[in-house]
Amino acid sequence: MNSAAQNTFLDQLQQNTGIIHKVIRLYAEDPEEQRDLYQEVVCQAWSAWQRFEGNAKFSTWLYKVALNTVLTYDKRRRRHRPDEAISSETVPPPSVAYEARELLAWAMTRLDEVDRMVILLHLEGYEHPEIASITATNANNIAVKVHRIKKRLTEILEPYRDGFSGNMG
Amino acid sequence: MDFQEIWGKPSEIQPASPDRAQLAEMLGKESHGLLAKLRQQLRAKMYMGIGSLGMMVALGFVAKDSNIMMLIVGLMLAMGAVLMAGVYRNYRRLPDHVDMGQEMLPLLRTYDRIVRKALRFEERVGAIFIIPAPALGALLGLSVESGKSLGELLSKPGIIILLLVLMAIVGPLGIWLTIWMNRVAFGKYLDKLKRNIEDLENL
Repeated sequence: MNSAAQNTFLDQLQQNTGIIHKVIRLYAEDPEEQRDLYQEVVCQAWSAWQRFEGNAKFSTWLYKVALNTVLTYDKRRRRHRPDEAISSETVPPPSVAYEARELLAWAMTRLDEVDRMVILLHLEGYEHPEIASITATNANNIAVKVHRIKKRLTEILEPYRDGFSGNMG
Repeated sequence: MDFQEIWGKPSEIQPASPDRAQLAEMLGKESHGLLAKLRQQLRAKMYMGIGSLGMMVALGFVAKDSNIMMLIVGLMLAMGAVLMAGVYRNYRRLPDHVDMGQEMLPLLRTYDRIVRKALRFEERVGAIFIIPAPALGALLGLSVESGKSLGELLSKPGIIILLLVLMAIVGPLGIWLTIWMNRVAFGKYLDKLKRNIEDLENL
C-alpha cells in the first residue's frame, strides 16, 4: 500500500489510540503483554484497512478490529519467578482509594472475554443494534446480555460499595 | 450504580501512546494472533514432511542396488507424498488474509474445520504409513548391512518375528506419537479457537 494511504491510516489511528488502550487494558494486565497486544491491534488494523470501505465510522471499525484481535490473541506464557503472582485470580483487588472508574475497569477484567467486549461497547455509548453489528449477533440478545453483565458487575463491586459511593460523591 | 456515568469520568491512568514513527514501525510486524499461529504451525508441519521425504530419497540412494529395496523405498515415498499433498491441500484452503474488521465467527469456524481436517487426515493416512515403516526400515537396514536379499532375510523365522514385533509395538507407538505431537503443536490453539467459537455462538 502506498505511503499516502499509510499516512491517512496513521492520521486516523493517532486520533483514536484511546480506543486501543481501553480495549487492551481489559484483556491484559501485564504491561509487557499490553505493549505486545497494542502492536498486534495496530498490525491487524493496518492489514484490515485495505478492505475497509468506510461504511462505518473509523472509531467503530477500530473497536471491531481491536476486540476481534484481543479475542483471538495468543497470550504469551511469561516466565515467572516462583514468588511472583501469575494468575489474574491472585491479582489483588484495587483498594477503596481507587477512583470509581478504575474500580469499574478492574471489575470488568473479572468478566468473561466476550462479556467484556459487550459491556465496554455499552459503556462507550454504543446502542444495542450497533453492538450487535460489531459483535455479529442480534440486538435482542445484547439487551439481555447487558442486563446480566451489569448484575454481575454489581456483585463483583459489592464489597467496594463504600469506596464507590465515596468517590462518586 | 450508574456504570455509564462512572465510565464517562476521565481515567486516572493515562497510558503513553506510541508516537507516529513507532506506530509506522508496528505496521510491518508479524502477527501473533491465534489464526496466524495455526497457519504457521501447519506450514511448519509441511516443512517437516518435506524433510522426511528428503530423508527417504537419501535412503533410496543407499538401497539403489536392490530393486526390491528401491520398490519399498518408492512405496514409502509415495505414501509420504500422498500425506503431504493432503496437508498442503488443506493449508491452501485456509484464508490467507485475516480481516479483523469482518465478522469473526465464520472465519474462526473455517480455520477450526480446516486445521482439524488436516490433522485428522495426517493421523489416519499416517497410520497406514507408520505401521509398516519401522519393519520396512529394519528390513532395509538388515539387507544393506548383511548384503542378503529380501527373500533370504524373509526365509528366517527370527526375522519375520522381529518384523511383526516392530509393526505391533513401534507402529502404534508412532501413531500415538503423531497424535501427541499434534496435540502439543496445535492443542492450545485449537482449544482457544473452540472456546472463542463457543463464546461467540452463545452471545
